[in-house]
Amino acid sequence: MRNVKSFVADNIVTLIFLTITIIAIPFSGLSGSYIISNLIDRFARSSFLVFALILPIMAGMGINFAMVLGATAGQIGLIFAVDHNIMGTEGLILATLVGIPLSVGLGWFSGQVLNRARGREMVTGFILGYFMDGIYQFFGLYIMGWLIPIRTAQVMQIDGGGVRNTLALESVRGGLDKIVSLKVGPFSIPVVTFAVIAVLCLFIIWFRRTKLGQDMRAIGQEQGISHAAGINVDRTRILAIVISTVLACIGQIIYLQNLGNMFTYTSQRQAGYYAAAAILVGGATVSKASIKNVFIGVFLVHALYITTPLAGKALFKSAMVGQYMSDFINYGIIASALVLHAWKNKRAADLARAGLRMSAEAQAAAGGVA
Amino acid sequence: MNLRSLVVKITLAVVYLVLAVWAYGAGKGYPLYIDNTDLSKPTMLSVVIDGKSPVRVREGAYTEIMVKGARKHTISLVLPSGAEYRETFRFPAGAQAAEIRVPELAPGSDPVVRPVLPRQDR
Amino acid sequence: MSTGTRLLSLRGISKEFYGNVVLEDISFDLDRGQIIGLVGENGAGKTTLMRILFGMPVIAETGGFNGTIELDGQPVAFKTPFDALDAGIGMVHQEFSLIPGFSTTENIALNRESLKTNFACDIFGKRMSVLDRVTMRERAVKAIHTLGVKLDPDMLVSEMPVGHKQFTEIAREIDRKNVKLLVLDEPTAVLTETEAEVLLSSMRALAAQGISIIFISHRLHEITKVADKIVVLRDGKIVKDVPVAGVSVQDIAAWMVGRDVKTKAAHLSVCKDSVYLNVEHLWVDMPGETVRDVSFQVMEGEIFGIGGLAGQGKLGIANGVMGLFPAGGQVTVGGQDVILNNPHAALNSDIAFVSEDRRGVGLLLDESLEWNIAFTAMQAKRQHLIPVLGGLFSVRDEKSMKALALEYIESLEIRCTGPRQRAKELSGGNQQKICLAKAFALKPKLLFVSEPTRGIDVGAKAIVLETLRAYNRDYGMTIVMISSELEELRSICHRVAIVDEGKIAGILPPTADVAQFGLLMSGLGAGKNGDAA
Repeated sequence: MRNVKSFVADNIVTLIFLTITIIAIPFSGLSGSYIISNLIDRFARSSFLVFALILPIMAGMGINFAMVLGATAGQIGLIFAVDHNIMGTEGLILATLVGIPLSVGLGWFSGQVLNRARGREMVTGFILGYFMDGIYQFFGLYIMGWLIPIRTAQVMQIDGGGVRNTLALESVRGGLDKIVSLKVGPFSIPVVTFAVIAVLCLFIIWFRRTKLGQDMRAIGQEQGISHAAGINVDRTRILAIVISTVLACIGQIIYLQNLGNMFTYTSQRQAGYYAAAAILVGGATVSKASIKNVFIGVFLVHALYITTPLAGKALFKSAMVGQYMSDFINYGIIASALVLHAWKNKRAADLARAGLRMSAEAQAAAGGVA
Repeated sequence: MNLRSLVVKITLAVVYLVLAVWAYGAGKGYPLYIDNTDLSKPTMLSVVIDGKSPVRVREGAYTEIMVKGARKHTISLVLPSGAEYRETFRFPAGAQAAEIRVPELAPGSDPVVRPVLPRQDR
Repeated sequence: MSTGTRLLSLRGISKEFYGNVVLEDISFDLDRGQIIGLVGENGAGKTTLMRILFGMPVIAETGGFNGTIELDGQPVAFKTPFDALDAGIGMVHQEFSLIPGFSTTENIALNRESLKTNFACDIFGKRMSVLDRVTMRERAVKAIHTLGVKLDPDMLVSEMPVGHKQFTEIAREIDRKNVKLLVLDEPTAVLTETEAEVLLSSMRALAAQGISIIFISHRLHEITKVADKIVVLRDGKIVKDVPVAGVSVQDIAAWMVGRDVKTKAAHLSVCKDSVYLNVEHLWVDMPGETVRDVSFQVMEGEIFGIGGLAGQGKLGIANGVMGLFPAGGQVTVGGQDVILNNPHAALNSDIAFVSEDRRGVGLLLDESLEWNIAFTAMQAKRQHLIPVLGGLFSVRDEKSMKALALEYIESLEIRCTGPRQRAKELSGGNQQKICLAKAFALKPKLLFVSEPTRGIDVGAKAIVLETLRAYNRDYGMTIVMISSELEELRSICHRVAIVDEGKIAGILPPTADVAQFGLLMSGLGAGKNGDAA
């Protein structure tokens, strides 16, 4: 009984959203095969992004909302590829090669900032994302087309200034998914995309066994002690953020090649919210995350995205409600997971205190001091 | 930093650059214009390039198809009658775009691909 | 088990912090395989001495030190603790420095992991090497074996009993390649008797292998049991440096506490027979000062002293009763229950508290003296307020506040420019007097004073103590005074309780022998004499 109780307490976020999904499926009126084929597609599309969050959590920095910077770098890479008319897989490779140095730089920068905001990494990362928005818009709307000429008409705003708000990625669409596409019954499986995700999983597993991974786990638990043991805490934290930012860059490119178009100035922000929500639904906390959490989270969050708008529409007879549902999912998950984390910490402190109380009361019961 | 590590790093940097240059070259898209405006022999046709999904070109139309890379390409033109012309062609060196005129197509002969200078089209 | 070759010599070490001498001409030697017992009260200079030995940056930042340290006959001056570690000095601190989610092995090898290089190292450096867990485990097993204890190399630290944590720490130090000297700072403080026994025998085993040990402990019987020689520090000076043979625990306690000052209990008031404060099974969750189970009684009109070493829980008692930290148990004042966990309730039941944290809790630093003095009275007792519109709201009574401030400025000899001066501009001693005035303004029947003389000069100390004594004598105020300075407690209290490990180790009259106090602080009271006065 106690085991059940603590299992529920430990997995409360996952269980709540699992319940919502199970309830929503029949109301949505969607067929099983539709849901599954959608899930496969969305899983391939977006799990890479979510992996970007694992290392900073391991290093005790919470959810790296500053991964938005990496996503931005990926988008800049894509803009470059599309503007230079580089097509297909080669276009994606080029976008990645352009994005990686950018994201290393941006990751190093946000690592520096987050090191100066110890204990408030998450909210700082959040604000860093907004700050980056400003720079990115300045770059996209003014620098592009002025200092950096735009070569392709489809990339330019109608009025000729800067990059379009909605950019068609037709030329690179499916550049990864469609290299090898396997048909299994009614479902098509993007083999190469899944292979890339598998390689990333192996990388994370391997990384946790390296010295750097071990150091990240150490500083994630006790910064002071790690520092005293001679681990360069600041540098290790910066590296965690740099790797996270680079993964976010690649993840965003994979995400967008699947979608085939991008909202130039908002897609990166969505990526941040989405990834945070997914990993939290998967059962990760701001201090603990694993590959398992990513997989569970990606599946569950997309099951919610697919079913709840329709279920909401069916239940409330309003399409608006359905639309609200997906926003609710993103923000609701993030907020509830953060609140629950605080609640868990408090619970742990209460438990420790109960120990103190019990020993004093046991003394009292035994007759106490003379 | 020892020598071995230096060599590996330099190699990696070179590979990175080579990969970027290759991706830029091999992935570059070139517009290929299918000129079907000659109405002396009007015909509708669908164009398949490098085995991609077919693009339909109506009589009197002038269509742009993006072609990836300046390497050898296969083009096949399928007429409504079912007759098919399959040819290979190469982009003319230095051209930014190229043009194929449908009436000039003849079975067994190389399609006439003319380079188009960007300023001249349109 | 000294082999006769000298390992470490300290020569004429002196150190002052901002003109305050904390160490003076410290010299002693340590041979290979020798265990030295280093004892002294809090503030005697043990910590500073170890910081100097380790090259802690704080020493250089505060002006360095005088004297020389020789290791293996070579003068050394470590710039950072890492230099000291490289030279073969290991330190086990009082607090655990273990990573809770790591296993014994991972902690022993922390940041000294055995590594296997791979291709990625050539690109991104050696931190990309994979841990060689097999070798790490072998190393851990070897270190544990050297210690002669039973430890599971794969157990997580968070799941370990405290004793195992302590052994893991020591194993980590001896896992270093060239460790010659170990400094153990209160290693047994958290251990049970049996665990402590095991630790002592491992220390002997290490010494037999030629590792020298500086053993800091307030459990004096352990020192006599394990050390080869003993060095006693008091007020920054070495008062004794003798072989341990033939030295008794009582001797050490007396050396530690020092001059057997004739205590004058002359001015003390006579306290009544009735119990005024009754504390039963109090626990307080105050970080660093946990109170586990404390019961005591204070008579009406008594000055009750609470002493003990830092971190043992003496500060927690007052903070818990005043509701500043989560607490539980039974507290009655004048026959009435005090509601715990509610500072307002405590103030309303005629208790006042002078916090040890003057700048944090005690004072509104940016406000004037009169404000500070009247503040608590205003908040808790609605004094110095003029009701407006039939009591709908009230405004401050500036006049009565000023009168109040002037009264205390005079009686406590507060040196200031006037009641309008801001609290932060005053010296420490005068700030302390303001805190007292603030408490006195409540006219409490029971006053808790916590570390009232910490960090203030001798003259101010005397005034503070005399004021407390006078309020006790003239107004019959019951006072519970908490202090680290035993002499101070003995000079003004009717009875002195010593707190050890969150519990009352014993209560003694101030006239009791200093050695007895020393023994209580060392965790081995002369029997638990409970409330014996």
